[in-house]
Amino acid sequence: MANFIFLIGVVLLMSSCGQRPEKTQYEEIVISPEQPKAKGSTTMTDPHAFMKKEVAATKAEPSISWHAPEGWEEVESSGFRLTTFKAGIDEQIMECSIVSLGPAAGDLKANVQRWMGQIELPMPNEKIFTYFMKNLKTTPTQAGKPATLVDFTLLQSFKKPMQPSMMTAIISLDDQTIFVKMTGAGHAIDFHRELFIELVQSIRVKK
Amino acid sequence: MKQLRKNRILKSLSSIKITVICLSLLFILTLWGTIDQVNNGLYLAQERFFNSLIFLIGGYVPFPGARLVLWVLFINLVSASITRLVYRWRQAGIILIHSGLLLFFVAAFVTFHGTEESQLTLSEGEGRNVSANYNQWELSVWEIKKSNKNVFAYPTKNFSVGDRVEFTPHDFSVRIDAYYPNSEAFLAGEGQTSVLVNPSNIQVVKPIPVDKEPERNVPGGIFSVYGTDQKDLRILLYGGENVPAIITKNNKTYAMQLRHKRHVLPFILKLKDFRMEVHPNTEMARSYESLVEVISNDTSREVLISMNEPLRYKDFTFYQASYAMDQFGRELSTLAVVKNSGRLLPYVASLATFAGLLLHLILMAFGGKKR
Repeated sequence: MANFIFLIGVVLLMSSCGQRPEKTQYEEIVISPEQPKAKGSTTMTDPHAFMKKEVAATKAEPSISWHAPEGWEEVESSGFRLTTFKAGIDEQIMECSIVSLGPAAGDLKANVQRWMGQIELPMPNEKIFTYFMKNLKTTPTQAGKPATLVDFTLLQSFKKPMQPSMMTAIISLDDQTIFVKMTGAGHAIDFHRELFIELVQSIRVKK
Repeated sequence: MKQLRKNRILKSLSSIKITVICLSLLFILTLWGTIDQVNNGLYLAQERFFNSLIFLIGGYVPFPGARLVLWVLFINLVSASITRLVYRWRQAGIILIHSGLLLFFVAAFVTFHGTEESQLTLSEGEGRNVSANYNQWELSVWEIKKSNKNVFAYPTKNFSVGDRVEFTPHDFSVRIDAYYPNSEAFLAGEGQTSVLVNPSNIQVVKPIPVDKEPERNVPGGIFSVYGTDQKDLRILLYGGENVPAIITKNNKTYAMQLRHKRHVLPFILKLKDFRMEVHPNTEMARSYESLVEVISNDTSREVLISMNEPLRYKDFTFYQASYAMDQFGRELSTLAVVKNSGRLLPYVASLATFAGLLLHLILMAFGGKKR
């Protein structure tokens, strides 16, 4: 028995060295899946084409233009949509569209409630909703009018990052209302938020 | 060797009593651990009974864990091999059996320290050279640029408040102000000013009890960053975010994220196609398989991974684990990745033990008259 206790002591002594965090270094390689191309899109021969490119609205009576954020792929649009983008891989996949409607496109509160229904987000209590609406941020745009940003991730739980979510921007111009809408999982919205705001800021009226 | 055989300490360590005590303890631990996992889950039972040196019964009474017992048994066996075994041809079978048993210990050591379990989720057309650990996390920093990410990371396993970790290549350091292995995150409250930098506007992270299923734990912490363009920079990171915080220094932009620990594969695995068959008239999966391309050193080959046919390549085994579909209809395939550098060792040890038994039987049968 004494031998056994002695042996245990030796083993414990040998393994009692403290462990400190050890740094690791590695190269992470990701091959992105090919994005679907929009019908009629041309092959880009410009060596700088991967950088920001200016895209003009190609629908009937196009009146606005914008800068496509880097890495966002334009795909075929239908209906009222002037354009649609897709970007991201894995949890970060999102879709973003730009729609132009008439100047009377419903009030902000009604639109926000409609969008909440689209992502099945339960209506918060009145106090929270009022606070949310009161604290909506705005950002300047090249169209001369500010865009109101509605970020629904602020109303959602961080414990459910794959929950469907949305971020929208509304620009009320004299003759039209521009809606920019990005949909995806909660953290896809987080991931693309800055580029989304960049896209919104780049919207301008064509002369 | 003769001196070693007479060494008193080695003789004491080779005592058969130690062997019997250790084997009895292993029996108790195996039985106890098997029963305990019913209530506390596989991971906790494994950590408590098998991966620990010592654990406390009821919080007070110490009891040796399987790791300690196996070390003692290993030393006991090595000592016995030196002091008790007779190295003659007639004893070749016994020597081979003991070598096989020692090889089992080596296999257990290599497996314990060399096995990594992780997962790799790919959409069709996507390829990666890293897989994500299920329950271990790391604090990662990389420079945001067009080329591949060059990541510097510290595993969070041994993080404690006040520790300082250096990101030497980028010339800045991070102090851990708070770190919780499992946490809940909250947005800034009404009227609350943002003090901490966070990409999702989280301002509070609170500890919650660690879940017995480690995959459910989501860590969070507050980190002070020194040596960047921003003075007094304090960043709040939450494992559930999946979006990095941004740091700037000398016109360079860096991302910092608390994320699942990454394991690097010495090749790239690209998902070319994912196929799923369902039972007739149901949506229940009957079988699913992933056609992958293994890209390594300018060469590539295609392999089909299905539910019972994993891909074994180098020290890695890829099993078809699950599948999903994203909101745009793209199919995602999840592969369980197991790296085991010593996966052949138990087979070799079994073979050696079996060969030893056979040899000893033959020698005893044909050499019996010489007694």
